[in-house]
Amino acid sequence: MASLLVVTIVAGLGAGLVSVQSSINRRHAQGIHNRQALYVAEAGLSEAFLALCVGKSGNVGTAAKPAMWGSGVYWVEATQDPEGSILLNSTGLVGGGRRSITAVVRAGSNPVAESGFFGMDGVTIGEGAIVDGCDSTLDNYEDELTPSARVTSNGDITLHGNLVAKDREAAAETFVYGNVSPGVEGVIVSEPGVQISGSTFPLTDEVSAPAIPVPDLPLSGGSVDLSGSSLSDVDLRYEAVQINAGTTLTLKGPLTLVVDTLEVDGTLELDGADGKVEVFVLRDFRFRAGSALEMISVLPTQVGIFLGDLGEPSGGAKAIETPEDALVFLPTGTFRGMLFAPFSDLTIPASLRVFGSVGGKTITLAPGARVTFDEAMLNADLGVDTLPQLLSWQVVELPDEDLVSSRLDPLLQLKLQGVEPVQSAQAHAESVVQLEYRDHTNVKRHYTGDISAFDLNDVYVLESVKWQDPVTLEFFGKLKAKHDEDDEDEQ
Amino acid sequence: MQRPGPNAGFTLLEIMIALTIMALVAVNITMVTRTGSQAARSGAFWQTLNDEADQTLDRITLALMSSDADNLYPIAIAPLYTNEVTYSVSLGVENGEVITSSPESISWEQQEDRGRVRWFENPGLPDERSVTWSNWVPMFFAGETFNGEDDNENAVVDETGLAFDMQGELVNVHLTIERQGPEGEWLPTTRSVQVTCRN
Repeated sequence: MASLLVVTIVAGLGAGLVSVQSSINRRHAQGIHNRQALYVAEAGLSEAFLALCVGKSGNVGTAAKPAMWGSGVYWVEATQDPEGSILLNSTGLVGGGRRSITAVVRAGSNPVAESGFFGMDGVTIGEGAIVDGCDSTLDNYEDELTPSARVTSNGDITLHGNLVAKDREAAAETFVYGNVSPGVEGVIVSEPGVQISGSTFPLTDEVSAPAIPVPDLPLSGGSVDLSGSSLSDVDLRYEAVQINAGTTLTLKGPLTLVVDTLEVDGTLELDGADGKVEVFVLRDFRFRAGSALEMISVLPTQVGIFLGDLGEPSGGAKAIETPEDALVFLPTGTFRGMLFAPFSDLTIPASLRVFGSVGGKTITLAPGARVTFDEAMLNADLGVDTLPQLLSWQVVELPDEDLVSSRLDPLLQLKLQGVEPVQSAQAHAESVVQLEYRDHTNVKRHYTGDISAFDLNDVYVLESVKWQDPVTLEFFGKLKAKHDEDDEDEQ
Repeated sequence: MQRPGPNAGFTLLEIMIALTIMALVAVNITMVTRTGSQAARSGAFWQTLNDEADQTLDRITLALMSSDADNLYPIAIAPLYTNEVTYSVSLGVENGEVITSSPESISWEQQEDRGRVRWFENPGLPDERSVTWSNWVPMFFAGETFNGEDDNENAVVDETGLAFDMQGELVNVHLTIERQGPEGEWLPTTRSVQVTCRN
């Protein structure tokens, strides 16, 4: 009897010790699982971000069928905001840990256009030049100036004013209606007669010029004279293109032109109304005095001129500096688009009215030049892919879902329900894609279907991609079939 | 030899041997029990200490992750440090503008010869709120003494039990939690983590 009592007491003590220890272990494990759940939720956000980059909605997995990541699961709900931004809500579950985070993302911001008028090593604004801003998607610029200009550099920014003006009223003053941002260790050198309406704070980080991939097109010809020609809906590669004085070359989108040398003595007309016009010049870029650059289309988001490492000898050795005659830019007229010359010292003449964005190794606005930064360029799909921009990130309350509130291991719970989580890459809501592309024989083709069933090696130039959610497709397919049936009955 | 009768007892020798064996067994059981309970107390102590350090650090890192690096102050770059950081967290986007919270701060406060970690909302204002996240933060980071040198080779000099140093959008958080162990001695555990401000 006594021994039974002793054994009972000892057993009770042991059970108590085990209980205390296991509660300590559970609390310890819970802390680890909560941390891991945060990482899984962040992995979900990254996956949704990737989906947005390729044109999908950002929805990944669902609460009923989440995506699997490591030893946990997650799902992301994407909601389009009326203001154009996208709200991504990602919930991660690992063991007993649960975390929900939200990110607000603004769709695509062109990294070249973000810096506005950008000179890597410096910007010089001549006396009497005016830099202002507009948003061509909202209003007609001609009516008013807007203070949304951006002048940016990793180096110094120099603004020339009128130091010695006998008649102050007659003297042309230099205006920047917007922000002027020199480099982290740069300065603004501003002479009297200069007015800057916005911020003059330096950059907090250096801006790096993005690499613009030059399309690898088959050679269409050597040196050609395209004077008086009109080209549209083609992709062409020439060694040299000449436009004679008194003649016009019209490029109408969709069109890609890659040339080693572009010599313009006449007029180059660009029309991006029906599709993008992208011109890549790799060695010599010469718009001589008397030449003209004109636009037929109005939106600058459809036209881009990209200059490579000009003056590069044909032997392939890199030039140390751009030879002076490799870049001549003296056109008259109007340019609406993106002009990007990361290796060159580019001067915008007063004879050319520019709307859009300009980037170069150094940028100089000639005295009296007028340039307008168009905010619509931030969303331009020119040169580089426009990546979504993160606006806000925060930890939020957990959603009211059974999987979240149960606190069991989610993988175990899903197994009990007979649900198998999907691999992360296959969990995107959209799997049906509509592709427009050119194959290796330059024939335009279309494809609609599951991306996994398409051979990407068939694509030579990809022109457009549209993702669709198979559930929505099926719904609208059935709806259309019903409407067709009703129409037949009526007839 | 004759069998012992039904009322026969134990001999003195048998009793002596039995008592000796019982004593040995009792001593062993006592030693095992004591060692076991010491190990259990020590294990429980370290687990509790580590849990407190992890929990405190999790709160700090979650707060800093939600903040905007441009709104952090003061800025301290290693080998300098700050034991207090003020920030605002993002609450979302409205009409295209990011909405931020009221200012918050996390600071190490001295309490006699030790310190504590406190979180404040609206620090220094009439509607200030505060929560103590840990009461067991020593004067100096483990291995560090006030001598103008980086004793623990973590690139920061003479840092307190809670210290922050910044590298752009990155914030390095150094935390020591110290409590009295089962034997009465002060035992520390340390955590260092690099946090990226997400906003």
